[in-house]
Amino acid sequence: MIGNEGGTRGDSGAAPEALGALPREAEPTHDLWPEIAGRLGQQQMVGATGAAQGGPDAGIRRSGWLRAAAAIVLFGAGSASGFALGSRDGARPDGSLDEALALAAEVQRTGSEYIAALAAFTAVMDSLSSDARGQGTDAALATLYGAANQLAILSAWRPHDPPAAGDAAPVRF
Amino acid sequence: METAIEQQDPSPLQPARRAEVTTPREDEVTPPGAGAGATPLEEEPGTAAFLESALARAREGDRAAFEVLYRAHHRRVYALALRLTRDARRAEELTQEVFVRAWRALPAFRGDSRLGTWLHTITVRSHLRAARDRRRRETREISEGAIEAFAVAARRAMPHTRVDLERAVARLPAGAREVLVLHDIHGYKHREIAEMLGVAEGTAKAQLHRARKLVRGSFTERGRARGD
Repeated sequence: MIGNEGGTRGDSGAAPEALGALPREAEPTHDLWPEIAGRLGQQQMVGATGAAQGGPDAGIRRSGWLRAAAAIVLFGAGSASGFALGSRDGARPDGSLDEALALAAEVQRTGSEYIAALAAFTAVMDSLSSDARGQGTDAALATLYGAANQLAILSAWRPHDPPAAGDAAPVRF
Repeated sequence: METAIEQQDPSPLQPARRAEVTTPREDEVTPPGAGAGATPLEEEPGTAAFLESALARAREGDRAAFEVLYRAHHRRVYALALRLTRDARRAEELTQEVFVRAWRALPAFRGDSRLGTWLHTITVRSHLRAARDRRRRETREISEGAIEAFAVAARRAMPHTRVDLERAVARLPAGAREVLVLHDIHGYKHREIAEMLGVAEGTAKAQLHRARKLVRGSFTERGRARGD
């Protein structure tokens, strides 16, 4: 009776064995490969220009969460350096502007690394086990938490700085 | 009756899990490396060894080898995508998305699960992500018109399917539908489904119980309407 509308069958038509007999393969309306191949080609071009995503040879051999963790450490270090400089500047208002700019650039660079690592992690997340996804997410959240706390400290140190004071409300995860 | 069905889990009523690797049609497969001066695969096309070799090549970035894997697996991915999305166009987009993501993540594929299971995992998770985004804009209910359009698409894509059952499954609410499709149709175990969906095994079992009850209920209602 397979292949008809099942109209003559009773309730037994919905039994699990009937569901188990349904086909597990289906034919798309057209060949999807040319579009997939086109997208893979685009990715490889993007990968070659140094973006975070690409084909298998574009640097995703390291698992996503490891990259995220590495970037997180860098980001944390950058934040800590920035805070240390901020403290020092408090005691010595005429601190080196070059040093401040260099540290600010370092924070920005590591922040970008962090975001790129998160993007890479997200890109492969669907293919990871629950454990790996959990570890990556925990690592990403821990870093974000650390960064937010540093920002909260900065806002307390500069209470009249509207951007810092406004954006750094106490963070809870 | 329901209890009996539940107690049979993992269900002996389930047909034996079909081979994960579908043999590609001869006219579809170009041996990896056949062009561009690369060394072609030595294995017999269509064999498990051939596909394993293609997987190894694809992991190294051989796009022709990846196409072999696509040809072998795309129908299984599309069947699941069609039942999850209940829309032919979205199912095709999802299938494309799955293979693009798989290509990207292939080096991280450790082989703990079979490639087919891994691709289905990506299918389910990509679908859930897209569905979550869509729910912000669209209602969760599917119209009868959309169900009919799905039925037409299902009949075209799977000529031997039972369209009445496909309709009944398509009417299931989100959550219950995914579990029933994965368990009763595609033959996955609750542990695997829980991993794919990111839920507890108990939740998957409860959803399956609910889904079967709803599907059975829809047939009972139809029988009453016919005066059976």
